[in-house]
Amino acid sequence: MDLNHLRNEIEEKRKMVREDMDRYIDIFVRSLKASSSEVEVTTDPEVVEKYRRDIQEDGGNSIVTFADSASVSPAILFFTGLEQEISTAMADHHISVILAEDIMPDVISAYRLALLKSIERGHGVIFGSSSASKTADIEGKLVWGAHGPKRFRVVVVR
Amino acid sequence: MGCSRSKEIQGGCGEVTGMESIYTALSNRPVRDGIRRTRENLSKNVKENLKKYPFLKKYARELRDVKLKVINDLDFWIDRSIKKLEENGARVFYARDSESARRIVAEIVGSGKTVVKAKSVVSEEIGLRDHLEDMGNEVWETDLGELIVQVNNEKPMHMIVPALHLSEDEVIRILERVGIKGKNAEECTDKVRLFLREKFLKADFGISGCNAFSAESGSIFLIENEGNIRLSTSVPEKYIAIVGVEKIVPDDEHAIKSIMVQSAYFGTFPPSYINVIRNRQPGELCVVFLDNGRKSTDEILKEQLLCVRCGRCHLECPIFQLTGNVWGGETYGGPMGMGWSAITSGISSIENEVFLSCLCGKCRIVCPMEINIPRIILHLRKLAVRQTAK
Repeated sequence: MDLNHLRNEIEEKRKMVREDMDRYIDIFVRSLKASSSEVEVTTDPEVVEKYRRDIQEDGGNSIVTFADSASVSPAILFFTGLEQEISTAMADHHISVILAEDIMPDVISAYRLALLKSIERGHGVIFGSSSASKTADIEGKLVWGAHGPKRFRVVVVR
Repeated sequence: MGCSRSKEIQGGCGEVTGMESIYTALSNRPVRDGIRRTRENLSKNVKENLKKYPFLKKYARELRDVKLKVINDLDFWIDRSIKKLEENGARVFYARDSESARRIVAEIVGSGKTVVKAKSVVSEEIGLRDHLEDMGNEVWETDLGELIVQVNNEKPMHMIVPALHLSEDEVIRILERVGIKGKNAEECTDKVRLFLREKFLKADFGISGCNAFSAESGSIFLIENEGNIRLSTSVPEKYIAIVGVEKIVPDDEHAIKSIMVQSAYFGTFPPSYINVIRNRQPGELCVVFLDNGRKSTDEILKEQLLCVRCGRCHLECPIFQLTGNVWGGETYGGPMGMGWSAITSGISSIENEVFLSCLCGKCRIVCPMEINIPRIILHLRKLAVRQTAK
């Protein structure tokens, strides 16, 4: 795998999103809402600390993580690392922070950005989430929180 | 759970075999109701997905060409995949048939272990769960629908929606057998979540199939909505993936395209979760490549190997709508089950069932890989007649 080629390709895609950021974020937010995810767009640099404090005070089984990349539509957030995979899978509420610069125009380039980061960090696992956990296995009735998080909240930091 | 699952019809433990089971299924109203409900929910979604994301059709066409290239040179791609996995630090095995695959997994697992399984048709194909249980292991299906049919001791009624034929009340009664008590779908799901959390945490092994395998990076790609695959493949220290050799694609890009196409044509898009496993450190990754007839198919049957297992052809098939997974072979069922059963179990496994297809061709129309299933069924009819004449 040619990592330099991968970096250049990602940079091209980043440039494309940067030039039309408002529109891309708008599509991203709508796509997440269509998957019943909660979304917030903020410019507040303290937002992560705020959520971490809230979680500590709440005492529930929640987790705040940084996503490594995301695709605009369908909106899928990618993460890397086995430990993070386990802790997000076990949480009841997953709050994921994504930097606007890591939003990619399509799923393939979002996956590639996560792949690049996983290789740089020596992580052997990449995982993507687009919503809370769900099932319709009992008489087709939709139930949230089958095994993974019951709530999935995405915080976009511009 | 003491009766054979073989060809069993929901609601009874008396074993009914072969064609008789199909005629019995015709009078099984809940099967038809479940399939109709599932089809109504998902067909609408598929149409919307393809309209909203027009690139999916392009992905599907591209994938067909790429998969054809791999299938025509399987030995090359298997070798490349094995080398890459070994570079990544995985233990890699190659199983020529079901028996060999069962033996390999049994040797890795041993006995007296707890195993959590993600839903996997390929593991059904090799009869893995029963084998591991016979070896003295505690084995749990972790997909909700698959757990329900495991507890009810029957085979899945659809490879993606295994318990579609069971009502909410029936599921409540079935789950009570293992101490899971809920008053409705929501409560049952919540109780299963708690019940299986304990199993995930104490499991020695996690086992899954594979939705797509990238020879470029040696990565296993899996999609799901529940989160049980994520837990099965990450929490236990040791993880075993069983990979049908036809799941190999040349690179990560096509693996992503394959899982996108699979989930979109099934009707749940995007999938809630995508899991990509290149290595398991800390821990251990064992990968078992399974041939079981895939490499020795004839030219017509070979097209079946392009299948991405979206399950679309099942729900749209007028015969499947009447019989459910009882028709089409022991594991796979439905129109695609004809080809798959012939590949993995031989023509004798479906020698009567191939004649029940009405050859309407709807399976071919809805298939993202445009597999000519009617042609495969006609071919299998010829083979069945030749075999009977011998």
